[in-house]
Amino acid sequence: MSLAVCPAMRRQRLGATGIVATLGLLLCGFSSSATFEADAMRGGGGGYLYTGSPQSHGMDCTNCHQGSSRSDGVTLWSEPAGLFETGYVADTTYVVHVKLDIERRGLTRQGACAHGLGGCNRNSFVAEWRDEAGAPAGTLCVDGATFGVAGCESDVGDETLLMAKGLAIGGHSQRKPRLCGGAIASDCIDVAALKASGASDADVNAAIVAAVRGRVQWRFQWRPAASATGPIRLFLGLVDGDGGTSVDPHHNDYQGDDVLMVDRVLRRQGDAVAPSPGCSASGRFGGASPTTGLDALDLGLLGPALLGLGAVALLLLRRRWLCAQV
Amino acid sequence: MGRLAVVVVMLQWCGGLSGCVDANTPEPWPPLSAERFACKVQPILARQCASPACHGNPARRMQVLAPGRMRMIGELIRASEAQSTADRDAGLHPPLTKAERDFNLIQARGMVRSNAGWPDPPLLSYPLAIGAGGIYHAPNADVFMSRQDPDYVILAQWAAGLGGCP
Repeated sequence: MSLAVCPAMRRQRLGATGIVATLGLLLCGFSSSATFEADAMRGGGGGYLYTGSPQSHGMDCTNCHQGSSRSDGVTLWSEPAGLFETGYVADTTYVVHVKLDIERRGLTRQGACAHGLGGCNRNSFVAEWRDEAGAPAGTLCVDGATFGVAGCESDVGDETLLMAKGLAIGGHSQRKPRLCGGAIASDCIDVAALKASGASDADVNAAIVAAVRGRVQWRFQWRPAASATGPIRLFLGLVDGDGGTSVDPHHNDYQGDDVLMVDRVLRRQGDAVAPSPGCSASGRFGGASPTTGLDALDLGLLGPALLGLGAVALLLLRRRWLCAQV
Repeated sequence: MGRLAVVVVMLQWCGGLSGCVDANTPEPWPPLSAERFACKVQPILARQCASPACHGNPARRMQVLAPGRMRMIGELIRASEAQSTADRDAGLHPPLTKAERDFNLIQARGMVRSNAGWPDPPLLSYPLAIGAGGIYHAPNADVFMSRQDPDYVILAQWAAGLGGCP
């Protein structure tokens, strides 16, 4: 897994207290897909998204992340429901959920990715939507942001960030712990209580750093265009990172990671059921071209059937001839 | 006398007495610009060729080192130590060292000699789509769809001896 730039940190002017400084440090570890956009000579993807799309020359996460690869283990669902079951409704804003079902890698390397602390558990995904002609389909937006006239009004959300000028979306690789606010929650760090119990700023920082986790679930928004009619294909790649075990733990590495690739064709609601993804003779995805009732399969069965009937007829004729001789 | 005759025949057979020369002398390396390679060619190789599943892999005949991909361990450590804190915190990978750049140059240079019967050397034939006159490479490995691709032009110009770093 590669590390990332720190857009959240750029956008936030944090105070100087120890705890807040720690949060700023941690925020650097929460984005992950941004270096994807960097030049290849700086460790980025050089413009490729590696989602497996034709625009990536079919290249996917396995081009770099070496470990195991599988096509199941990612659950997708939407709000409103039905996007992945019955298809899309044009001009409808969907909140899309992406979930890594079972995290297998990096579980022993939880914690923040601060420099000098060694490797850390990271997971991430990148997704893009394309129409039949290969053009970007619909408008993407990060979680929690609003759609404006010109598209999504923010590039960075709590869980995702826009990439490639809005053509793709990527997931932050880590989930920061929540600090307890007014209400008591079970999965937050109660800084006030820690301080009251005598914990120093360093102790509180260490508690926050230790509570960082590799993210396994994300949300983002997607809205198909009002004019959308044809099938739309989702290309999604997800990496379950192992936390970096090589000589370069700060930048993490590409070895020992799991890769999960998703390639899903979505039809407009009410259209025919989406066929399996594939490349037709026309070079477009979406399955086979229309066939008549007597297609190649029928012809393939018809020949042997006629031969069989002929053989039976010959046998009957021979038997009749033999009987006539008697 | 019989033994001497055998020796003479063997020497003749080997060409020792017939004056023949070694027909397999190495050709001189084409005059390729290291400066232009580092400036224009290396970034293309890093982007298009250096994925670990492709040429960023020690199993390949042509191997390409790049930041975030395959590196020389000792050089990576050196480069990491020299990296600025700002770049490191931004998640950027340390740049290639001179030794790594030289390694890439040697690798690419070996692919600039033309194979017998090929219209272009391997560096230009393999990444070019077959429909554009290239040679079959690997699945999903048609990097350039035509000879007019700007990156392909850069490779071709370098392979033809163009130097300098514009």
